[in-house]
Amino acid sequence: MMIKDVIPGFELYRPATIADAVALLDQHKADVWKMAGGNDSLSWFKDRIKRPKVVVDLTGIAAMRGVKETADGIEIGALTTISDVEKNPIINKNYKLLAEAAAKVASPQIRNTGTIGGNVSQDARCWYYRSGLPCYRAGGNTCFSDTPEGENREHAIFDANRCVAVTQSDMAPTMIALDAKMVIHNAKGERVVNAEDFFVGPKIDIRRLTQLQPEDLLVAIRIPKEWAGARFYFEKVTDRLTWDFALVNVAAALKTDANGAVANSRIALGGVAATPRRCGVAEQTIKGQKVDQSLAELAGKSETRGAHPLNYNAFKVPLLASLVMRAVRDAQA
Amino acid sequence: MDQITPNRWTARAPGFDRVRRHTLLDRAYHWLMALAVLVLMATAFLPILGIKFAWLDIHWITGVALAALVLIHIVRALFFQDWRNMWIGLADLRELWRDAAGLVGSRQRPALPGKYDAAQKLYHLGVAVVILAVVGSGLLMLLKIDTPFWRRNPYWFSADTWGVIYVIHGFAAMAIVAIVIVHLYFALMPDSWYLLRAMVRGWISGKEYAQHHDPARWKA
Repeated sequence: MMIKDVIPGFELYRPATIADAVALLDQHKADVWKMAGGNDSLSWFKDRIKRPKVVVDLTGIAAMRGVKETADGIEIGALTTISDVEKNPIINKNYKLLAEAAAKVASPQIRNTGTIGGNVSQDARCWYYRSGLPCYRAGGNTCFSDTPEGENREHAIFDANRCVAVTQSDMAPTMIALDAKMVIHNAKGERVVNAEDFFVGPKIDIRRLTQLQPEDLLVAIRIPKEWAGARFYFEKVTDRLTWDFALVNVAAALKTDANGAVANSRIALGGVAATPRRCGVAEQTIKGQKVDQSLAELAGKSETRGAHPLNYNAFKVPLLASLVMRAVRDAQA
Repeated sequence: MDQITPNRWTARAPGFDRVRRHTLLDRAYHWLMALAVLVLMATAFLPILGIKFAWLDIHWITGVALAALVLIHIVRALFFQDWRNMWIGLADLRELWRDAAGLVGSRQRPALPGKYDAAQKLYHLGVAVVILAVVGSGLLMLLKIDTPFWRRNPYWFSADTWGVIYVIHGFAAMAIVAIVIVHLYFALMPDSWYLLRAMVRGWISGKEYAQHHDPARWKA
C-alpha cells in the first residue's frame, strides 16, 4: 500500500540567482532535487518514492521567468508558467502552436503553477514506475508493464528498449516541431542543445527522459524565428474530456510556398515513445506537394511503419495515423 | 624443434631458429576474444560512468559473438589441440611450490615450465570460470530483451532467480575487469615481452625457448 502522508524531511534551498542554483546543484549532485512548479515533485515526495536529501526550489529565480524577443526568435524562461505561455501575446501572434498546446496541459490550476521547463522535463507516468516498483527505470532489472498481464494501454509503440514508458508532455512535441533549443547551465558553463537531442530514450539512458543530469539546470528555451507565423496544428487525444494525460498528441509546423505546396514541415508525436517522435517520413512525403486528403492520409499511414504495439495499445497505431493526417490536412496559419 | 618453414620474411633473420608458439588461428582467436571483451567492458561500464550511448544492441551482439568464440575454443581445445598443455598437473604444483619457496628466500632454482607456466594455467582456469559465468548468465539475460530473432519473455525464471543471474553476471563482469588489468600488467612486463611478441608473430626464438622453457615439458 502506497503511503500518501507527511513528506519526509529534506534540506530546502531557495536560490535567487541562476549562479546560486547551479552552485547548489553542483555541490549536492546526486542528492539534489530541482523543484519548479512542484506539481510532480510533491506527488513523488508524498508517495515517498523519491526521497531527496536536498531540494532546490527554483521559483525565486526571476531571471528564469518570462518571454522575451531576441534577434533569433524568442526566449522563454524555464520557470515561465504554462498559463503565461498560453496567454503571451508574442507567442499567440507568432508561435500559436505553443499557446494551443499550453491550453491543453492539465487543468487551469496546474497551468497556473506548472512551468514550461517542468513540463518538458517531466518524468514518465508509467504507474508501475510511479508506484515504486523496482522496474528498469527505477534501477531494477525488469519491466512490469511489458508483460502478458501488464497494463500497457498508455505505453510505447516505438523505440521501446526494455522500458516501455512514454513521454506524456504536451509541450515536448511542440519543442521538436518548432526546432527549439534548450539552454542548460551547470558548473562548467552553458550549453545549448537541440530539442531532438534534449529528449533521450531508454536505449541511451533508461533512468531519464532528458539529458539533464542532476547538476544541470534547464534555464530557458529558445524558439528560432524560422517557424514564426507558420501553419500550426496541435491535437491531444485523451481518455477523458476533462484534464488528463495524452494517449497520443501531435504538434506540427508547416510552411507553404507561393503555389501552396509544402516547402518545409516539422511534425512530432507524443505518447508513442519515450521521446517525442519526429515524423520524418511524413515530412518527406508531403514536401513539395500540395496537400489534399489522399496525401494527408498517406502521410499518416507512412508514420505507422515500424510500430510495435504491446498487448493493450494497438489502438495507438490508427490513432497516430489519424492525428498525423489531420495535422497535415488541417494545419492553420 | 618445430622449425618454421623459411619464407621471405623469416629467411632474412640471422640465426633462423624459431619455435612456433601460436598458430595464426590461435592468434586470431586471442585478439578477437580480446576485442570482444573490450567492447563488452566498454558497453557495460561506460554508461555507468556517465558516458551515455545506445549500448545494449552492441553489448548483446558482441556477447553472442563471444559465446560463439568460447564454443569454438572449447571444441578446438578438446578435439583438435593438446588440452594437456593447459592441464594443471603435479609438475605444475611442484613448480608453484618452488616459485613460492623462492619468494621467501629458498635457494632452490625456479623450475622451468613447459609451454605454459603454472601461473598461466591458473590464470587460464580463472578466465575460463569467469568467462563461462558471464557468458552463461548473459545468454540467459537475452531472454529479457527483444531482438530481431525473438521476443522477450521474462517469465522463464522467477524474480529471485533473475536476481541471482544478474548478480552472477555483475560479479563476473567485475572479475573480468580485474582479470584484464592483471593480464595487461603481466603482458607488458619486460620479462614477458617475448610472449607478447609471440602472440603477434606466432613464434619465439630458439634462445628464448631454451631460456624460458623446459624442453622435456614442451617438446617444440
